Amino acid sequence: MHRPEPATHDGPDERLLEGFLSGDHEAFEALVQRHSRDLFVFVSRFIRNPAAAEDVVQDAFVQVYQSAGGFDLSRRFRPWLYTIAANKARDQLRERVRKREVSISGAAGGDSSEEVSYLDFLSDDDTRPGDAIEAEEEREIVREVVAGMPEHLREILVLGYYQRLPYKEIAEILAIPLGTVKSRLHAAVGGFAEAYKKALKARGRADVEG
Amino acid sequence: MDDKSMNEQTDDPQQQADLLGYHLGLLDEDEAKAVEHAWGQGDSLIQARAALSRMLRPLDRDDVPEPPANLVQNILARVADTQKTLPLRPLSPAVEEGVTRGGPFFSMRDLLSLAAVIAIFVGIFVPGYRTARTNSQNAICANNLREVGAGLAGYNEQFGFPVPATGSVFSQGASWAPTDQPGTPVYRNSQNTFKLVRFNLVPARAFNCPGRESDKPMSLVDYQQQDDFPDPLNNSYSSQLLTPQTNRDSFVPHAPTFSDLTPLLNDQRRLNTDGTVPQNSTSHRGVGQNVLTRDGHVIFSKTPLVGIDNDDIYRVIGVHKYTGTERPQLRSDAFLVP
Repeated sequence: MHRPEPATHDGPDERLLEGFLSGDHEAFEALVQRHSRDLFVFVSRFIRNPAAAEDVVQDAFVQVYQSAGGFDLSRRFRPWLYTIAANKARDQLRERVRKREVSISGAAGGDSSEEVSYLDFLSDDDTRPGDAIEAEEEREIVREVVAGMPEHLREILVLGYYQRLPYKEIAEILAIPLGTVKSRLHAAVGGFAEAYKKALKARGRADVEG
Repeated sequence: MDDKSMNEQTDDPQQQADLLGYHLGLLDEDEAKAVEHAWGQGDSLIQARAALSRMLRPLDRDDVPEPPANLVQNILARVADTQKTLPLRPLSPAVEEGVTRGGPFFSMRDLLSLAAVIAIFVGIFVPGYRTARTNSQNAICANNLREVGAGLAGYNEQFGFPVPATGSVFSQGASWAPTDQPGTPVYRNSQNTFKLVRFNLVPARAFNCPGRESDKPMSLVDYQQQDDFPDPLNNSYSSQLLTPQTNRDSFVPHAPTFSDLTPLLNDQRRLNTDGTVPQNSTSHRGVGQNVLTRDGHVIFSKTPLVGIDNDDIYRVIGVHKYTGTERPQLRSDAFLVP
């Protein structure tokens, strides 16, 4: 007896989504399997709350499930998924800010920080803060600095540096021009380097050269 | 590393951004080749990347917690929950079976809400409309009587005496309304009133009260050839039945002379014989009647007791059952019949 071959779920995302729309529920599960961990890490870095991050990831996949019928299959799936997740993460952050009535941005300045070049800080390359301070303290400083960055810079730092998504895909996710993606990531890295150096100085690290 | 040599090559922010993208692997193949080409064959690109790595190294300290082990299961469970609360229409059995079930477009709740809204609108606007319509009818009726009042004054001026009495008051046993008694001569009081139309002192339409929907306007006839309204329903009003006692010298300015139809007659202008005669004229839903006085004023009275000394303008003193032959006995006893 001829049996239909079981559907394979190792093709491109868009084909899986097409399969899901044709009634193959396992294709949707495959998409969840494929992207949920990375998406969790992205959201988690962005909103710094594992429980809330899991909620956001769940919400994002629920929206994918409900809106898949309206998705243009000629486009790529991952930018769409990340766009949904980024929007929900922003909502989550704003909700949290509204509840606590505190600002999450400010320490690293606004758009003016985009003018900063990370190359200005390359002279610190012989500085080895990791050798001088405890790793835990350094981690704490990095977190504070990243958390203090403006939302649009932190967002692009997470997508570009941590998630290593291609520039073009980031442009699609954030719906901004490619040139803006490049300059913004450049500003984010420079802004981080400057703020990190200041933070080290504030901790009284005498070995940090200005 | 040689910072100077690197900075010399990377003053351009675009090139700096491309270097960062190259280092992080964010460029596509062509862009990556372009960066390699720009930095040349030497070690400068390697050194620049090493410097970048050192600068970015602190970022790697920022780790995030591992995703929960049951992340995928939780997501799928959440999606399944959503399916329960939001069933997808294409998955409903009726559609799968190809049955085009014509479900109701509105729920019962929607329909009840709509009914409630309509009821509220009706409650607000229908009484308002009725009131406005009644007020409008009363105003038109009062204006008709003012025209009649002007016509009466015009008649007096034109002929030197008031509109005369009709024949009924001079003919013993004659009736001012059709009765069940065969052979009883009928002299309607409107013969008196019709003179105002005949001599073009009052337009015929002014004798139609809009409150009496069964009445009809006079059709086009030659007024000069008529002694009375062709149809009793052409006249919606009652006028004072004049007698030898109520001569011109006895007129007082505030005495009633015209009014809405007497309640003694029904819509067909026959005597109400069933014994249930309403107090007020029925022209305005029994609420009251417009009354024209001798001096040309029109009042809307909620009772018929607007004659001299509160006399009832529709009834004769001491009479309870009307046969059409009743006459006012006193000068002050106004008695208005059509």
